[in-house]
Amino acid sequence: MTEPAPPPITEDTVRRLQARLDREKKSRQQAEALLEEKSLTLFQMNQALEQRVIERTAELKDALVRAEAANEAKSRFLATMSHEIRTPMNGVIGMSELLQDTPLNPQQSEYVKTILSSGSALLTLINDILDFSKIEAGEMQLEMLAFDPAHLLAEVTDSMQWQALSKGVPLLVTQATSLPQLMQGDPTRLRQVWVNLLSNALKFTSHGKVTASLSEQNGRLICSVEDTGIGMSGATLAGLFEPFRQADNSTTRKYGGTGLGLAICQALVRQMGGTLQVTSVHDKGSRFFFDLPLPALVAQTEASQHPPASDLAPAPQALARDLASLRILLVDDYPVNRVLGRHQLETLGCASLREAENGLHALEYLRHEVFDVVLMDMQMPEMDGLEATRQLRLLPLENQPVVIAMTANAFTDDRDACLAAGMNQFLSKPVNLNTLRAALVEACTTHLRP
Amino acid sequence: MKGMVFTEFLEMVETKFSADMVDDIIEDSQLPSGGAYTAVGTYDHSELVQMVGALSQRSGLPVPLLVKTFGEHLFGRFHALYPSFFQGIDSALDFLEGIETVIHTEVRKLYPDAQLPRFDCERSEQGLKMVYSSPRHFGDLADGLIHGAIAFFGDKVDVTREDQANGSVCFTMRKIV
Repeated sequence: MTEPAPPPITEDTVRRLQARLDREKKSRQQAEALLEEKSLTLFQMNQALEQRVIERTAELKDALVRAEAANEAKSRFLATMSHEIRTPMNGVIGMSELLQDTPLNPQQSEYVKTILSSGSALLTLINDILDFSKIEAGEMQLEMLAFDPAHLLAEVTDSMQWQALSKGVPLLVTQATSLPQLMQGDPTRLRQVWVNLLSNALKFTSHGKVTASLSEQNGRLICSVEDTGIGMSGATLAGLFEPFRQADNSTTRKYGGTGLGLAICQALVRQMGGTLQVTSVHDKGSRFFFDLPLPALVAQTEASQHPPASDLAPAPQALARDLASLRILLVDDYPVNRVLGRHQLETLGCASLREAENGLHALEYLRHEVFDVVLMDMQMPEMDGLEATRQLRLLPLENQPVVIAMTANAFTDDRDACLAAGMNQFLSKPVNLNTLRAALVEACTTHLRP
Repeated sequence: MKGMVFTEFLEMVETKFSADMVDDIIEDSQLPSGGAYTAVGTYDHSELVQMVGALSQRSGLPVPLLVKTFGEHLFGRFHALYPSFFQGIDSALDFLEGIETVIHTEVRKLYPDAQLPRFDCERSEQGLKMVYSSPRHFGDLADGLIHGAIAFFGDKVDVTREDQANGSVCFTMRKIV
């Protein structure tokens, strides 16, 4: 069998094939042109997109710089406000304290008590705002001191018993028997967290009880505050640790407060290495708890313990005599503060006192008279306390006095600046009697008696 | 009109008739494009009308039948080329109802100036009412697509067609129980 002959290639066949080829070629060219066009569009869009990313990034950087500047301005403003408010508060609280020690009838006594408690409430508020701005600026610094955790909690709860009693809500403490006697951490900040949580618990509880618990496990101090108060809903819990937050407006009206307390507690606990957590049931109560990695210390002799500042024992008789003999120079530009200081020192039995209204006057005294202690304000006209101290330290004196800063500047920076200028101690206003006494006692023991 | 419609039409002519038929109807139609189409291009829809007319002349088959047959063919090609539009869809009525809202929306994203026909849909328990309207008046094409879809999904659906005075076409689909 032979293969069938292929169909003859006619002129028509060639023409058709040629036309098909032409059509195919033309359509390919069309497709290529379209592809080229789309590619170009895509490229241009990419360019535009990159340009936009660059622009947006620059805008964001700019916004960040502005936000940071605004934040810094806010911190400066808070520091200034804090100083401006503390200065008159020093007069209010100090004078009220002095007034309390004068003969008063019961009604007057009640009035003074109210002035004092309102004054310290206002001070707490200012301190909260200051703390919060420090935390936000990342300037909160922790101390590392040896302290007795059970003793600290007992102190806090003791100081709050009156508040619990007046509400008829028992304030209970449960603590593990195995607690280390000494741990290392920042007792001041831990106290602040305890006080905040406990006063919140008391504030929001009108029947039942408030319980503070303390235990230790694997090198962590476990703390909790539990109440049978009004509790919180899920929505409230979600934003609880945000600053300026309170359960709702009606809560603000009924219970007061700035809404900073828990934000501060959370930040402090976090900085101490823990997390503040909460569980709560509406109308049943709340439980706040946290644990801190605090190293336990082997208990040593009583003397080597570092007691909290406000816990200083009253000066023994020998020291009281020393206080009486101290030659003191009080430097402050604000007349009310000088009057207050004078009366406070008189109350403490200090008999020898000179007063100067700025750094220049102070140096004038210091060149010609002998002083043991200088109580030095920071901000003053003519010459401030830092400059005055620097110049004092250059004077060829036989015995350089102890310089104690007494200032309404309450930031760590200020403390550092004072110490760098040659001051020995730092007290932030308002300064109450006990604090002043403690500072003078310390001056006697550590600086004047080598 | 999208080039894909043209390339698919010529494919169908080649398959159902012959390559020579393709040559002939292109030659008969005196097309501005010369019959060179690419699927991603855009062409004047009157070229398709010309070619269908030429095919009718040469084959002796009526234009509406040819267009409707092309519609059925086109549905099969849609399914082969764009399977993503069929994911999760298991009935012709669901698919047809989504042409306007889903498919045309996507087409416009890719080809912002595409001129698309409109399918106004009214869904009910019994079935679907679909009104086709387009300045191109390819009601037969829509007819073919609808039947293609029904055949593809194997639904038991009865279709009635009513041509309106304004040129739009109303298709009423009823499920056969």
